Formats: sequence, C-alpha cells, structure tokens
Amino acid sequence: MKINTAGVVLFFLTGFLALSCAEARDLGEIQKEGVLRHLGVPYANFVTGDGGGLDVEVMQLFAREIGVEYRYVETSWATVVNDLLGKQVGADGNNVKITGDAPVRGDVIANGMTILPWRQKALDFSAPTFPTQVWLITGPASSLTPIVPSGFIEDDIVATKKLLTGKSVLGKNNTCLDPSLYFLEDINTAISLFEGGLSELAPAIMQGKADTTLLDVPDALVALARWPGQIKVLGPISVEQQMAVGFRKDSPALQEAFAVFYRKIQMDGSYHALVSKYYPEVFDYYPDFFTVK
Amino acid sequence: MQRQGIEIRSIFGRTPQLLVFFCITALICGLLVINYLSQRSLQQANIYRFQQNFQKSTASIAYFFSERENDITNLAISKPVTGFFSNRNLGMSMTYGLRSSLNSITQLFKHRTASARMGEEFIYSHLSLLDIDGKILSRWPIDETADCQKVPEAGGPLTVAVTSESFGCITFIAPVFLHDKLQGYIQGDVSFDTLTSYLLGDTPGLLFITIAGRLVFQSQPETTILPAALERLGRTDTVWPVELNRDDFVDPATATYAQKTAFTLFFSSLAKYKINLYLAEESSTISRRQFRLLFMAGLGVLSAAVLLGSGAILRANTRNVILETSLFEAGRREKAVAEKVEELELIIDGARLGTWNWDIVSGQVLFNERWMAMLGYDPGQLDTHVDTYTNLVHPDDLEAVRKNLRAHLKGETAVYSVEHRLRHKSGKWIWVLDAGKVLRRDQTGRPLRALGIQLNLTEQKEAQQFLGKAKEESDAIIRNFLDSLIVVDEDLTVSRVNQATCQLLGYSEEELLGQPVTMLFDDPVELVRGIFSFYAVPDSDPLAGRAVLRNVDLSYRSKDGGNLPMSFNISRLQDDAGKITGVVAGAKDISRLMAVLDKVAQQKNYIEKLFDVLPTGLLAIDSSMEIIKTNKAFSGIMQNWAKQFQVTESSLTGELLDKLKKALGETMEHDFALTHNGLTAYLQYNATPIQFPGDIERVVSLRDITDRRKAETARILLATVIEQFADAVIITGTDGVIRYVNPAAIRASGYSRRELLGQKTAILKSNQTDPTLFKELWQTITGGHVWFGRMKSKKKDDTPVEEDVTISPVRNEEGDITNYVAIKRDVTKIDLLQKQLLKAQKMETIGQLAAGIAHEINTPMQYVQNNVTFLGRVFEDISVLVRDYRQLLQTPGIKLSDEAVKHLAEIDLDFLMAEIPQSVFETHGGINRVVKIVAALKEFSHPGSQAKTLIDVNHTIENTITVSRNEWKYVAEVVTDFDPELPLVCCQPDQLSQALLNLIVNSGQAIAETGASVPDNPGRIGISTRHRGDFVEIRVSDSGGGIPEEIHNRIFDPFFTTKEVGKGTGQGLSIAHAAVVQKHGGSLDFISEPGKGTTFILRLPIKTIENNKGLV
Repeated sequence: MKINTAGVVLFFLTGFLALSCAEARDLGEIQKEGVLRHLGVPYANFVTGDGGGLDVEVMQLFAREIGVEYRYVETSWATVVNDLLGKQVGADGNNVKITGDAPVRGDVIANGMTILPWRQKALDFSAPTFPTQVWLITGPASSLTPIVPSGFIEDDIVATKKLLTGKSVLGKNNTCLDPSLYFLEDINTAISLFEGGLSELAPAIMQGKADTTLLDVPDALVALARWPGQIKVLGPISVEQQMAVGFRKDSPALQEAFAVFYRKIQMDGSYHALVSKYYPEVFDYYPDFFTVK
Repeated sequence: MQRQGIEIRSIFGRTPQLLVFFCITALICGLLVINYLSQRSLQQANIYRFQQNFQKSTASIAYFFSERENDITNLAISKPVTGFFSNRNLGMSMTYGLRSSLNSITQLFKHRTASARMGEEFIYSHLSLLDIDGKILSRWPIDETADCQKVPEAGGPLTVAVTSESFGCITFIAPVFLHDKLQGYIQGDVSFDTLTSYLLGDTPGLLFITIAGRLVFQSQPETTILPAALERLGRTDTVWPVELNRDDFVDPATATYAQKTAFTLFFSSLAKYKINLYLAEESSTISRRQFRLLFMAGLGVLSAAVLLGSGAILRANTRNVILETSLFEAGRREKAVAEKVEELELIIDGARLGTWNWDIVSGQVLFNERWMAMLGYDPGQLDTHVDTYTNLVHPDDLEAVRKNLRAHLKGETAVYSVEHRLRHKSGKWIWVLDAGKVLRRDQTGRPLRALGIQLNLTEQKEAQQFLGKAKEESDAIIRNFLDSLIVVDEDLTVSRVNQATCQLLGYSEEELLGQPVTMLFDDPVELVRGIFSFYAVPDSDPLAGRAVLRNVDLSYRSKDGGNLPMSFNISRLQDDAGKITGVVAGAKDISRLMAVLDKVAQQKNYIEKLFDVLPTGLLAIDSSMEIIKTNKAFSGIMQNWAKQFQVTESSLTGELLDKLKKALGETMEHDFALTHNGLTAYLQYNATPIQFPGDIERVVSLRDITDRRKAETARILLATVIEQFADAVIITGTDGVIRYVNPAAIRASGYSRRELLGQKTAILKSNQTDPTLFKELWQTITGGHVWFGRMKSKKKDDTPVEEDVTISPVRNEEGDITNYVAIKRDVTKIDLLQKQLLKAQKMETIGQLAAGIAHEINTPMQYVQNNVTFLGRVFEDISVLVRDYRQLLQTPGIKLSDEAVKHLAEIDLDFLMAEIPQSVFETHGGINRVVKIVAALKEFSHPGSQAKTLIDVNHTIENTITVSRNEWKYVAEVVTDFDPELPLVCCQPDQLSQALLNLIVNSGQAIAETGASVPDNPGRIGISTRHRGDFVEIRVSDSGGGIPEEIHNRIFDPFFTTKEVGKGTGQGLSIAHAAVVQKHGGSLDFISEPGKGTTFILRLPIKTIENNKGLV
C-alpha cells in the first residue's frame, strides 16, 4: 500500500499542534478574555507600522464584530507562524518542519500573507482576501530591460526568468519571495537571502545590493508610488497568487466567525472601501478579484 | 370794434395769466433742459458702472485663469506625473508596473477635479494626461471616446489653447518635463458655461469671447455676430463703448431685438491669454430714452397740462435726484469698502495673520499665503478641502475645535474662537489663535460661508511655558536650597524664605514672611538695613553700582535667642524694566564650614596617604606638563625600568613625559611603549582633567602592563595557532555544549560555526561507535584525565568519519574543570591505506614464500619425474618379459603351480599390462605439468632485479597465463594470438610479468562480475602480441562489463578501486601503469565499451642488446 507522506505529516502535525498549544485559543476563549491578538508584520500597506493598514483595519472591525478589544502584536516574518502555533516551524520545500517550541503570542495572522503550500500544511487560511503575484525588480541603472508582455502569463514568466541568467537575485526565506518557490536555483542565478524586512528589499536593490530582487505586487505598487523612477519592474516570476488571513487549525469557531464577517464586509462594500483606501491601483490589475459574487 | 375791444380786453385781461403761463412754460422748458442734462449724465454714469463691473468680472476671470495655471502647472510637476514618465522611460510595461503609476495620476486627477469647485459645480470638465503626440494616457472623468488631443507644436511655457467650438470649453495645457526633456502634457478643460455662469453670471446682454481674434463663445448661440463686426471689434483698443447695430448680426430675423434696437458694446481684454471679451447691451437698458418722449410730450401738452406736466417733471426730477443720490452713495460705499478692504489687508499683513475663507457647502477653504507660510507650505501645496485642515489639527485639540465651531455654526456663539495646535510641514506643532465668523446663512439659517483669521501663538506659548517652567524651577531651587536663603523686598521685609532658613531659625515660613529683615539678625539694625539696601547707597559710596555683596558676615538670631554666625552673599533683584525690587541673600553657616574645612584637611591628609599606597602609578601634572606630584608606585615603575634599561630615572621620566605630552594631545586613555637596549616596557595611562587649587591640570594614572601585554601576545599566538591548526579543535563546557570550534573542525564536520556553537557534541556522534566507549570517555575526562582513542563520528551530511581523538579537561585557577578540549584527526583515509598496505605486504610475502616453496617442490619433483620416467621405461622391458613368460607358459609341459595360477588370475595381468603404461604416461604428464607450473612460478616470483635483460615476451606471457590460471579458469577461456616473429624486448622481466599478471587478473575479475562461468557461459580473455615498428604491442582484452566513462581518468590512480572493501587493493592497474610507463618508457592505454568489454594496449619499446649492453 502506498502511503501518502504529506497526508501523514499533516495528520501528525495537526494532532501535534493541537496538543501542544496550551495558550492557543478559539473564539470562546477569546471572547471570554475579551481581546483578539492580531499578529502582524509591518509590510506594504497591509500593516503600515504606524497603527494603520488594510489588515489592521479589517482586524479592528473583526474584533468589534465579535465583541472584544483589538490588540496588535508585532512580530517578524521569521517568527509570525511560530507565534501563532506555539511551535518553531519552517518550510521544507512544500512541507513544513517543526524544530522546537515557541510561545503563543497571537490568535490570527493578517499581514498580507500569501497562501503557500507549506503554510497550508501548518495553518488554515480564510477565503482569499487579496490577490498578488511576484515580480522581478531591478534598479534604474540596470542594463536589464523589462519584458514585452505577450498576453500569456506563462510565456511572460519564462521571458522574465531568462533575464536572470548570470545575474544575482535577492529573496527572503520563509516568505512568498523565497527563490526556491520559483525554482530559480535551476537556472544560472546567484541567489542571496535578505536578512532585513520585506519592505527593505526595494531600497536594497536601489542601493545595488544585488542585480535584482523579488517583490510581490502589493509591495511593488507601494514602492513604485514611493520611489518613482527608482525601481524597474522587469516582469512576472509567478502566476497570480492569493493572500488570506491565517488561523490555527484548532480554531474552527474563530475561522467560521471570520468567514461570516468577511462575507459581510464584502457585501456591504466596506471591504472594497478599505482596499480603495490602501491600494487604489489594485483594481486595475485584478478587476475580477474584488467583484463580489 | 366792440368785438375787437372785447378781444383786446380779453387778451389784456389775460395777460397776467399769459405771463404766468409763459413763466411756467419757461420754467418747464428749463426743467426739461435740466432733466435732459441730468438724464445724459445718468446715462454716462450707468455706462461707466457697466464698464467697471465688466472690468471687475474680467479681473475675476484673470484671477481664475491664474489659479488654473497654478493647478495645471502643479499637476505637471507633481510626483505621480513625473514618476509615471520616469517609470515609462525605464521601459516598464503597462501590464507590469506602469499601469499603477498611471492609475496614481488618474486618482490625482479625480481628487483634484473633486476639490476644484465653484459652488456646487466642478471647475474642470476633464483633466487629462497626454503623451508628446497628444495621445490621451489618462483622463478623468474617464471618457473612452476621446483618444487624442491637439497639443502645442512645441513645448515651451504654459499656454492656453482652445479646443474646437463644439466642445464649448477652454483648455489649459502645461508641458511635462523630465530632465529638461519634454515628456507630455497636462490638460485641463473648463466649460465656458462654468466660466461664464459663475464669473459673468450677473452680466446682462450678449457676451462674446474671442481668443486670438477667433470667436469661441457667445452667450446666446442663436444671435451670431457677423465676422465683419467681429473684425471691427478686434481692432478696438478702447474700453469705451462702441455702437453696434442690429445689422451687425448674422441673421437679424432670428434675433429677438427690434429692428432699430441699438447696442452698446463693452470691451475687456486679457492680453496675457489673447482673450477679448465683448458685452453687447441694449442701449435702452443702459440709458432710458423716456427723457426724449417727455420732452416731446412736454412741448405738446405744454399749455394744456402745465400742472400735470410740472407734476410729472417734479416727480421725474425727484426720482433722478434719488437715483443720483443712490449712485453717489453706492460709489461712496464702494470706495469705503475698498478702503476698508485695503485697510484690513494691511492690518492682516501687519499683524502677520493667516486668513481663511470657508465655503461651507462645498467644503473648500481658501487660505492666504501668510497662512500657508505659517505652516511651512508654498501656495497651492496644500489641498483646500476642509478635511485637509482637520487633519492638520492636533488630535488632542480636535474635539475643542469641533465643539467651538459647531456652537458657532449653530448660532450659539457670536464668534468662533479657539486656541489649538496645527501640524507644521516639518512635523512640529504650532499654536494658533483661530477666530472666525459665519458671514452668510441661507433662509433656514444654515451657514453658507465663514471667514476667519489665525494668529501664530507658538512663540507666546513657548515663552509662557518657559516662564512657567522657569518659575517652577526657581521656586524649586529656593525651596530646596540646602543653605539659608531669604528674599527681601525694597521695603526691607522678608518676601520669601526657604525651608533651611526656617529650620535654622526655628520659625515657620508664615511667621517670617512680611517681617522686617532686621528681626532675623543679632547685628545692629542700621548695619542690617544698610547691607540689605546696599544698592541704594549714594554714588560716592564704595558700594555704589555693585550688583552683589559677597562674604558678608552677619549673625542670625534664632527664635529661641541663639546666635548663628553666617556668611552671606547678597544679590540685588531687578524686574524686566530694570527697576530694583529687592535682594536675595544666600547664607552659609560658617561654623559648619569651619568644621568642614577641618574635615577636608583630614581628608586631604588621608588622600595623600592613599595616593602613596595605591598600586597604580599616579602623577599630577600642570598645564605645561611639569610634574607636580607623584606617588610611590610611579617611582617604583620608573626605578624598575630605569634599572632594566640601564638609564637614569630622571631621563626615563623625561622620556615618559614626552610620550605623554604627545599622547594626551590625542586621547585621554591609551597604551604606549618605551624601548631601550632591546627591552620594551608597555605602559597604560589614563588622564583625568581635574581642578585643584594650584596648577594641577591632570592626574595621570600609569600602569605597567608589560606582563599583561606579553601574556596577551602569547594568548593571541596560541589562538592563531589553534585557528590554523590542521586538526579539529573543539572546546566544550562541562555540560558538553560546544563553546569554540576552529576552522579545521568546521571543515571536518561540514557544519558552519553558527550551527555548531551552542550545540552538544552529540551532533557529531555516530551510532557506529560502541556506547561503552563514550561511557569510558566521560568517566576519564570527568575524572580529570586525558582520554585518547579512536571513534566514529559523522559529518553534517551523515558521512561517517573515523577519528583519533584526544580530549583533555581544562581547569581554572581553583583547579575546577571548566572546559574540555578535544583535538580530532580524521584517520578514515589513513586507516584504509593501512589496510591496503597490509594486504599488499601480505601478497608480497606470499609471493616470496611461493618462490621458496617452488624451489623446494622442484627438487623432489625432479627425482619423482626421473623415477616415473624410469618406471615407464623399465615397464616396457617388463612387458616384453611378461609376454615372453606367457608365451613360455603356453609351451606344453610347462605347468604352473596352483598357487601361481591363482595369483595370476587375481592380478588380472592383461588389465595391468594395458593400464600401467597409461598410468605411467598420465603420471608423467601430470608431473610435467607440475614441473612446468613450479618452473613458471619460480621464474615469476623470482626476486626482482633492477637490471634489464632481453626476454621473449610470448614466453613471459605464457608463463603469466600459467601462474594466473586460477584467477580466470572458472570464468573464462584464454585465447592467445602471438606473433611468432616477435623480437626480443629489453626489459625487467619481473616488472613486465607483474604488469601482465595484473592485467590478466583484472580481466578475469571483470568477466566474473558479468556472471560468466565455465563451461556453460565462459568469458573470453584474448592476449595478442604484435611487432609495431620500434614497439612490441601486447593487447589484453576481456569480455567483461567495460569501464564506466566517469572513472576513465581515475583507473590508474593508486588505491582507486570500484570493488568493495577488502576485495581489491586498488593498486593493480596503478602498478601495471608504473611498470610499463615509468620503468620502461612504454605506454598503457585502454579501449572500453560498456557492456562489451575492455582492451588494454601495452606498448614496450624494442631496444637491441647493443643499445642496452650497459643495462643487461
């Protein structure tokens, strides 16, 4: 009999996490204690770091919806999943590996987190909240020329990857900007992993720390607006991806409450208004995503 | 006659009436003339007013245009617009990146369109971004039908152009430059309807607008003016009205005016934009023509309706007077208003006031330049919506602002006034006094417009805060002043006193305040008064003009009558105007001071002793680097090194001071060295600036760190050695956690330094090592002994490693074990080499034994062979004898005994006679074979000689085949193909034999790996010889599996083998190669085909015996 390895890993992971998270809470405990802890990493306009951001406002509305206080808990990309699960976890290809324990610091992750296979094995995601894609970016002085769009995303990705031959690319581990997710090791590309925050990738490339870098669309839109003429979008590295709110697998009631809430703010237009506030350009790129069906 | 008389009487009788009539008539005529003149004057005034109003409207339009200029120019230099072109110039596509830049511009247009309003109506019908060819890149409101616009022929400054008439709008267009290169244009469209309805909405009549002589707008489209008239108007350069007849219109039939309607044309110009505005107004509207009708009517009914006419004239005059009066009054008011406005502007400007003008309905607020400057912005930099203003208000003040404003808007307060903070462009907060008032409300009382001013209060606020803080600080200082402190006003009464004084005197603060200052002292009243009013002495007095009296000795008198001698410093106090308001006196208890001085003297003595007993060298130096004082430790250091350097102490001290002088100029703490006669003293100094009475400027501490420096040098050397040590060095704590690894350990383990540090040594542990070994290891090292042994570890990639390990405990000064040091050497390869070497030595020994055994076997085999030969030969003789005996037995009369017959039957003589020769023959053959093998073995294993000799290669090969038979006979057959004419070759026989043996054995093993076996599936070893010019070529081929291509370049490497451990030494082909190539100058190559086999080609140079005499 052939054993489905991923399934077994997922089974044990789910059980393991469920048993190990002493501080993990579901909706009942959250309402009893009266506070929703939102794990966030300052990133693009999802969490701006000064108390605002699309995901911050959504979580504030959600906390109000379930009748509790809102509390923002800042973390980092390296530890955000750990802080939710109470375990030190990391990506192992498309699988997830557990390397130790960690304190549980929050109830929900909302900071423009891309749905990735390994994350799906560690977390439960809400319905997609934001579209994204990974673009290849370079500095203005680079000799690399942006691709001419063909109308077919797959062809555009191939054309973009060709540009990387013999060049260096900057990525970030454990995020959607991990070069290994897009098989960049298979082409003649020097890969380096960035130690700083995601929002610092664009400045890093402007300072010439690598030939190119990966940026997801939301961050690229912010960077284009902030530094016009200072970064150059070469083309896509990935097909369209989606972002969502992350939950522990043992918090079904909280997930259900958020699903109802999210549907509600979609229907009454308040989610659309928030997206317009923080990402007015995104509707041009993904006109269908925000159409309420 | 009578009748004539009557008529004459009648006439004369009416003379008075006639006179009255004529008088009245004359009066009426006079009134008519006056009326005419006044009408005429009124008409002129009306025209003048029309023209003035029209000029004002035109000025409004000019202002409106300049605002639009600013709008469009600001958009053209805005970040989103220049950013878009920057990104486009980088080559980015719309799909990937550029669209967001364009969308930012659209959002900007949307916002600007929404914020630029006149009343409820948007000013701009469209805002567009055009590329250099006029193609529309972005447009708001979005208009899919428009795709291209006319653009100026060349860039240049802002120009105003007009679209086609069908659009009915005026267009403002500004070029966008990036790095001085034209990139595109910003275009704003303003509808004529919007323009005229708000700026010329109150103007009656027909309005025409021409731009560059071309009619672009008229207020009544059905009344089109003739081009000829337009041309005539175009030549007009006066602002004075000109007559325009109805015939000047294109189609008089459609005109609503009467046939003889005359117009008065008003003209105004915006020269900057080449725009002319014409206003055609019916002349009747401007100048009433009634005066002519009244004049005619007056003449007609003059005599019949004098009273009526007079009344009418009087009424008309009255109206005229009223109208004239109202005109005068209006003019006077306008002038007054203008003067007031000017006065107000001067006041606002002079008072440095910011002003705001809030259209409450639209939310738009106009701020003056002063206000913008107050917040650090340039005009036009801030959006003018009220929300923008709200965002600038400090969050803590926002509620108060809203509350006050709400109350005023509701009419609850007469004016709106509040002090609050606004965010400056730099991010700091400024205080403003914000005051305003609603000027206009609608019928329901809803506010429509409000005006206000703002005064920057930041400096006052800061000054207030500063004063408040200063007062608090001064209060705190006085209150907490440790010594006695009193403030005495100019009336010499105590106005303030601190706690220390109260405690000293035994009074409460309330008891002292307001009391005469003399009450506090034991000294004569006059003396006290004189001292506390020292500032009021005559100019001739020595104290005149002094601000402070110092060290004045007075004695307090305490509440209980005690006398307290004090020393006072008294300073006069002045207010902001310079007026002296009293004095402040601070006092010290001298008795305590004396006690303190005694204590200081003791402390000084103590410090001086301490100075000498300190182990650190100390020297006090003055500003000119002269030594003031040194301690014993310093002298000790100098004496010690002066002795070692063999110099005088004074010269060494001088040298030290020179070094110090130089070093102190750079840093206050440093090391330096003194060197003499090959010896070096390392000294460390630390200089502390100090203020002592006298000239001491610095105290320098000096430490002899020579020993420490040497130890440090030794430590660095040791660390460097460890770092560069070829063996792995790992230092752990007693808990087994790794604290240090050297580079060799990192290389050997495959882990990074970061991965190893903090981990337990178990990370390197292999499961292949016996656990009891570790137990023994820990027992040894925890017992304080050194452990040495061999163990198996593993690398990061799980590769097993065999290591010789020495682990030593490290003890601290107390003898406790604090760490363990492990030195590890990878012996994996050495171990393998040792095994292979052992096997090779074993094989060599066996070879030597074989030679001896062959020799031992050879001798008995010789006589066995001889004896068998002898037996064969004699049996032939015996056979003849037996045959003869048998023939004899057949002779009649000869009879054998029964026993002989019986024996003869038992031995089956016929059988023996047939089989014994065969047995002897076979035995002989076997012995010959043994002899041959022994001879070959003997020859093969003969101890090697360095001498070369001529040999028969074919024979050598046959020998080798014989010797190696056991290696191939079960798996292959050997097929030879020798060249019978092969010349002799000069070589070392044992080396060639060894090379051939290795090749044949290698072939046999290669065939065995394919599963071949004799006799069912035999492999094949082919050996051929050929004469190739100066070489003899030997080919050894096999039908094995071939050599994988990836190891072709390694098969001749020493110790390289693909066989499992223990089955091959990895030296066979290496030895063969060395024997052929290095010892004989030949070559050894191979051809291999996977799955088919390998052929080794051995070439030996042929050398004649003559050529090699010396070698033979």
